[in-house]
Amino acid sequence: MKPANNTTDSLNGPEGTPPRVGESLGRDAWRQFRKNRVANFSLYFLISILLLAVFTPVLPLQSPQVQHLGDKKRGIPSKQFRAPNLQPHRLEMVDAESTRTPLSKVISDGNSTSDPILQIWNDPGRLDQLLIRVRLAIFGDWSMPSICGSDHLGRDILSRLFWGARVSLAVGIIAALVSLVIGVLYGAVAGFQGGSLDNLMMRFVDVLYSVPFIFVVIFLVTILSEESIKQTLLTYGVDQITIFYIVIGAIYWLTMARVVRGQVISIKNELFVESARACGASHTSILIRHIIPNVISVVIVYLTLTIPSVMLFEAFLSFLGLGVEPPNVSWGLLANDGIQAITPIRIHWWLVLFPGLALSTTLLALNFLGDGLRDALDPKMNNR
Amino acid sequence: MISFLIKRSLWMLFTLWIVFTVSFFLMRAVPGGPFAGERKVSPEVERNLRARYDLDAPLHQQYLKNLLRTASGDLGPSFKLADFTVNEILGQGFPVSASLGILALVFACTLGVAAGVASAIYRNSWIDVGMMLAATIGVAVPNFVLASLAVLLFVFIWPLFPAGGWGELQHLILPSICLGAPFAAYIARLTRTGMLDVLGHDYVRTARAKGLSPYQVITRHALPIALMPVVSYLGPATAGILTGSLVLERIFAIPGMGSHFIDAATQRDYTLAMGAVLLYTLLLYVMNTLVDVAYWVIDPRVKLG
Repeated sequence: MKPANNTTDSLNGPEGTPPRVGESLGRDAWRQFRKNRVANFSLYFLISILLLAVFTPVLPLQSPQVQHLGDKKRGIPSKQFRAPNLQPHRLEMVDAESTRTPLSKVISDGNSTSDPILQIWNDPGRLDQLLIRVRLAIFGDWSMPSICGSDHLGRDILSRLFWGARVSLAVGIIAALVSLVIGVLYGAVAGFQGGSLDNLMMRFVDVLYSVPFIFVVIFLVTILSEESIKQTLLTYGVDQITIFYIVIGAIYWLTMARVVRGQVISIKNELFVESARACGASHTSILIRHIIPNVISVVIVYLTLTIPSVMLFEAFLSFLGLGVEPPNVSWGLLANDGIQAITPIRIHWWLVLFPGLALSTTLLALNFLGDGLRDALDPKMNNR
Repeated sequence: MISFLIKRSLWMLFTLWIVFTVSFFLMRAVPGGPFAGERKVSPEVERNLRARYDLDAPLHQQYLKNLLRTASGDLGPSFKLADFTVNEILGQGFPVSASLGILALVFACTLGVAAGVASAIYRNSWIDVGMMLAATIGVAVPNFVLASLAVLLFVFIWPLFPAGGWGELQHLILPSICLGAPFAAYIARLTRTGMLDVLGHDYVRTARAKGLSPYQVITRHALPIALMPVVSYLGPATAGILTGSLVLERIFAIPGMGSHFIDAATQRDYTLAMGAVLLYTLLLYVMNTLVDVAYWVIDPRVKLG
């Protein structure tokens, strides 16, 4: 692949063809990408999902964790396994005597011992607390009705889907980035050094390729979730979900490393690398400033294809009860809740359908986006 | 051929050794050991238990002893299921998982190849568009979502199949369809691309020109070449089916190797988990080698390396 700003080749095209005005690789790819309607739609869809996930605390949703088990004696209705409905809902606090007070009143009274926001939402960070306050200022106690139904503890599915999206997407993006860093560095070093080091490094990748990783990871997660190890890691500030990011990222870098190595080998003898060397650039700076920027397009394509597989893997582990742990929610966990709640007597279809739909549409959009980007960035198809 | 198989076996042993070593030391790194549960046992009992499971020797001796024992094919006693050896548990689970996996693979290949050939022949018709749309969706939808919906639809709303369990053919159909569906979708896409590529070649035109029926042209001349990518996909597909069976065995309550492995993982039965990982590695290696050999048999240009 040519460096992004090298346009001389296309100016002096093969004999007989009129010279073309050079265009940067990025702009050309973007133009190609705009032509692909499905990929474009997927891109907008994913951006809106991402924005909704980021701004979930601002949306007028019910609490993702307050249980509505009801109390027959006091006439408080239970909300367990409610089918999708449009009944209005208000945020409220229930105290030990089962008296219900609207959340806004609790906050304005200010005599509650602990922060009511911390009780209704699951341990929100600083920023999330701020966003929740914004939400309370805009919408007050009003929240969306349970249009996706509620689960076995009376929790609102819609709200859990949104909060779950944050975890699922975060795992997907962060773990893919971890794999990106490892894969690009590993592949670039192997390809750039060449020789016996390259041989050794790629043999290592081959060996890892033939290990069924999912089983090893499950084994690893089991050991890392041992109570005492968990505590030890927590003292270093590493919690369950961070381990999760790292472990998943650490197994998805193999393909990335191979692809990057191939690309690096094909460009390391180009003229611009040689001139950089002639100018006295060190190996590290050649690698970082000249070679890696030129493999970025391929890396982006593989990144968009890695994100769905990572998200799928997270969902898979959470589904098996080995991934994200309550009170955190993720789509895989919700799907598992759904399948646990299936009984022959009452069919709680909404518990199965909505998490499955959320996960599937997102994965589908990511796949379309990855395919579209690959078509747009594929240099073989550039001279259409 | 022989040297290829020998080389492969050596690499396989090397990989298994690495998996064994890493798992062994990870297992031993867990503080407290497997008997530090909620229920405290008296020191004497614990000493006996440790002696029974060879936990009282120095680490390198334990390692050597375990390595030799594992190499002879004995995976040792299960930590959590008393009176069972890991070999017995895996031996019970393996046939169940194997029949599920093989049925799923057969289903994936037949449906995938049929759909792929049909879309390539009726290119750009509604059959093609519909099937490829289905294939795209099939690749993206996770198998547990598919299985959950299938259970909802075909077990409870329209009771065609039993909800779960094991023993009859009926128990096998729905899980293996759900397990095979994503791979059927992928194989359909591969077959379609392969067929479209091959149908444009000169020799296919020659076959048509000499008066062969369309059926013969496709089955005798086009399909074997078009299926090459599918054959090489069978290796990764096996890996995927092994993984997928973890989830499906759980959803459909099938007592296979996957269920045992997940139970072992959640109950921290380290020997069983390690045995399963080793067995999965072995299976994957054997399958990949078979795929390579099959490739070599089909296409004489391919060199085994």
